[in-house]
Amino acid sequence: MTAISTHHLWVPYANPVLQSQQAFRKLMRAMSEPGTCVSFDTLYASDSGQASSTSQTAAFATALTLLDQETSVWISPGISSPALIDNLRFHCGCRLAENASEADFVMLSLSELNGLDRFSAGEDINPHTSATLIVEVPALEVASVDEAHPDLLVLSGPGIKARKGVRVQGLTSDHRRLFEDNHQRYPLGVDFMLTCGADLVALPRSTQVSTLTNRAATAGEDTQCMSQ
Amino acid sequence: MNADRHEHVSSEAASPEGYNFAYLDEQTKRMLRRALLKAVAVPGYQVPFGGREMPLPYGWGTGGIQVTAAVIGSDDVLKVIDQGADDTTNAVSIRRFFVTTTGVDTTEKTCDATVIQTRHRIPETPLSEGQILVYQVPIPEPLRFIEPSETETRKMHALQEYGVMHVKLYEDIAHFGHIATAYAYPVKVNGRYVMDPSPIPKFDNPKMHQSPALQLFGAGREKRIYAVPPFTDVESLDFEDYPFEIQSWDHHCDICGASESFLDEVVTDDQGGRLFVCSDTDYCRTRVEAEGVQAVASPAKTQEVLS
Amino acid sequence: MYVAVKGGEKAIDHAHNLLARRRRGDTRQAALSVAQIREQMKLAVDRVMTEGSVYDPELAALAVKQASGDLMEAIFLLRAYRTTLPRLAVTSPVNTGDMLVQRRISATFKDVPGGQVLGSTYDYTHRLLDFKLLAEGEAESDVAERASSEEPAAADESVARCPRVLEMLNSEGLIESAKPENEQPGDLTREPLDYPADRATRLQALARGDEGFLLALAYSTQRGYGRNHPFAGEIRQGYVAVEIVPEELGFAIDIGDIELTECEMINQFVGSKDRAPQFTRGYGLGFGQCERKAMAMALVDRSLRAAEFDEERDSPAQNEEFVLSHCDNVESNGFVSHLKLPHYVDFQSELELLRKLRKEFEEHGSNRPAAKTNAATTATEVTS
Repeated sequence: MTAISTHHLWVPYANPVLQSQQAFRKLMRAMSEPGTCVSFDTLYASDSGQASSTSQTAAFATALTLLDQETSVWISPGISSPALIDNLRFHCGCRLAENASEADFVMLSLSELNGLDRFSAGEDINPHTSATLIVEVPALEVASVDEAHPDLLVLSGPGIKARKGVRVQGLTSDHRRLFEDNHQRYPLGVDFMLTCGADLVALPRSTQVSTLTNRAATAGEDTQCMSQ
Repeated sequence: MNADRHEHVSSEAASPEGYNFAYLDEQTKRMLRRALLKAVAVPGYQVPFGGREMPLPYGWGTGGIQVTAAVIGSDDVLKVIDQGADDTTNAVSIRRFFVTTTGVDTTEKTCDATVIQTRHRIPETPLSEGQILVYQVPIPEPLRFIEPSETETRKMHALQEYGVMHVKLYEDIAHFGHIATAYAYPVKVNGRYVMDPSPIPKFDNPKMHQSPALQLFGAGREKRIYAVPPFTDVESLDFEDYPFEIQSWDHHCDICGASESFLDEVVTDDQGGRLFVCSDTDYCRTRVEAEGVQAVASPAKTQEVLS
Repeated sequence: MYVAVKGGEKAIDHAHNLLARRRRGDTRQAALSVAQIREQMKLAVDRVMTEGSVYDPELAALAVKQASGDLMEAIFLLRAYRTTLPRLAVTSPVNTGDMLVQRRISATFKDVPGGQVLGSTYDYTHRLLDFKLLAEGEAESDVAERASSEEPAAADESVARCPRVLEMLNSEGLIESAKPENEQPGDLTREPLDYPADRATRLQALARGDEGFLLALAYSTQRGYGRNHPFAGEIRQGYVAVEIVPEELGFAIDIGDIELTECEMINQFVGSKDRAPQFTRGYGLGFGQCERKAMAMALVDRSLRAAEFDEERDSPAQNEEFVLSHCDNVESNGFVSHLKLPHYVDFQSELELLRKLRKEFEEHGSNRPAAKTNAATTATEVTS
């Protein structure tokens, strides 16, 4: 393994204990309330007075919070860069998986998400051994479920009072099918964290994803990304 | 490795004794946090985790303590209850542990708490969105008393082989005319996993269903974590002709007069004297303090009980 | 009466004060020093280190002192402390073949290279209370006299090198070779137990397991509950070097010595049409002098290998889940003692139910439900 180059290292948490706790609460909120958008911007601004030096703030915060020497990560060719790899190695100390199927965490871009077969979906008696996919998307926003839109995903299931809508730019019908297929094999399946800059929306395997847009929305969904 | 180096630098978050914030080291917290996210993604499924030895004994809330330690932050307001009460010895002991290791604010008021760690009760005051309820779990496996082998019970969960549970409940009905499980009454979560709700009275089971709060469960000795996200279906197992029902009392609370709260029975003498009081002390006090609720018991008795 | 429930905070403070006084005992007696415990209650200290999974005689002695001599409490103290320790490095496997032996016996050969070394043992003492010890301290002259009468070679200069007895059998192919299943053993303290466990993980659990529990299980195998024909091939106790290989150096450095007791049992031979018969092994290891524990561990280790050798498994000591789930005394002690915690709510729930059932019994004169239930049929509907 080559030496880490320090000149492209990103700014980590100034106070890792408190900031990883705050970041974790955002991740847990996102995962337990699918369709809720959490932002990691304030996390940096509030404590260190300094923004993180990467544009992939949410993905980097997730890595700092969850990855360490006990976990492995697979990075897709599309988003792999010496900077990303060195930062993960230096700040998280995590193992880089050679095969996507062995990775606990996977980082990739939406355009590279073209199938689920190569990621671990867990086993019947160990559904938790599945992979978590951190997917960088071009744009991400919470949206009303009434308003038909080609990028709209309508979510329901645990953590969602009625239904919630998320617009994910660059979404294809293949992606929709893939999200549906993932839910179909519940309790097996991968969990998604869709990230765009500092924002993150989680789609755990328990979430039912549909494209239904014409029915009246029931009360309770957020229409703005919450910055907390 | 590098991450750890940074952690030791941060003195700001360290607790007075020189232990890390919330006692656990950061690597342990990350392990717990990863397990918690899996638990939330698969509601009701027991995620194995690398449980650590805590400075409190196994069986005394180490699972709940580890979960709370993994989620709690300096802005949180913590409430700890045991048997519904804030002042029972173990609740006091656990609250002290977190005050010492995190310096967080604590409260006895259910509505003011952001994190509530509990043993054996769900507060009477309805929980709200954003609150986290952490349960201490002794035996996380709902099938354990039917099948002692972990290898077998895990297969049963994988195959959704839950018939035995119904057979057990049915045998109760055949013997006693009722389902004879009064606490730790099994539930089915999100239509998939049968889950042990911890030894809460079945009275509390309905509060789990579609709760706006996030419910996290920690079993330290058995090294399992599970969760029920907000707004998730939690059904108590039953039969069409023997529907699930909760406990009821012929009494009211002798302090606040509540008729719809879980009551503790207090033996007052050896002549069969009994007093019934709310097990949820915050609920009871709030009712007494609120306008319009008159103490039903004699003032002297109330004074004694509340002191 | 209700005050018992309220005022928990005060009650705890008072209990702690009382405990501190009880622990100290009569203050007219000199306080025990940690050094005295470490030196004079070595076997207690060694047990606490072994089951507490921390090699630190001073801290173990402190734990014994703090726990008023309650070894399970002391083990618990040490375990809780262990959780807070950072992991700085992973050592290379220690080589007990290079042990500086202080005691070494084999029950299988009359003499072995390196010889039989009795060392310090209670084995051949007559269990007669020694009233000389009752007198205030031991006469210094008495101790000095004993020291001078000892063979200097046995006491101070440990036997240079003792080849392992089982390796001598191994070179003839008479016993299975002890090869690790995995180069990287799991870590019980980081990963939850998963059944079936591999042997390395089982041995970790047994090393931390309660001496009394393992002793009873080991005894049960000798009495026929999973008999495996053991011979104490070799028991050795002494000091071994601990080495780490720092990544930046790339070679091993010695970071100190630890005292270990190791037991290798020679057990029931196995063989098949394609495989010549061979003895099998059971292995036990612990910190300090812990011979009873190491022997019990070796017997139970062998019992738990029943599946590997296709042996019938019908005894408790052969049931991996049973043994490993219940051998840890920090776990078992915690869960048994938790019954002391309030259970008012659960008990009230049962009371309410019991009263209801009794009321119905009195009204109907039986436990039978009034109407015949069709619950059995609905049960299948619910679960399908």
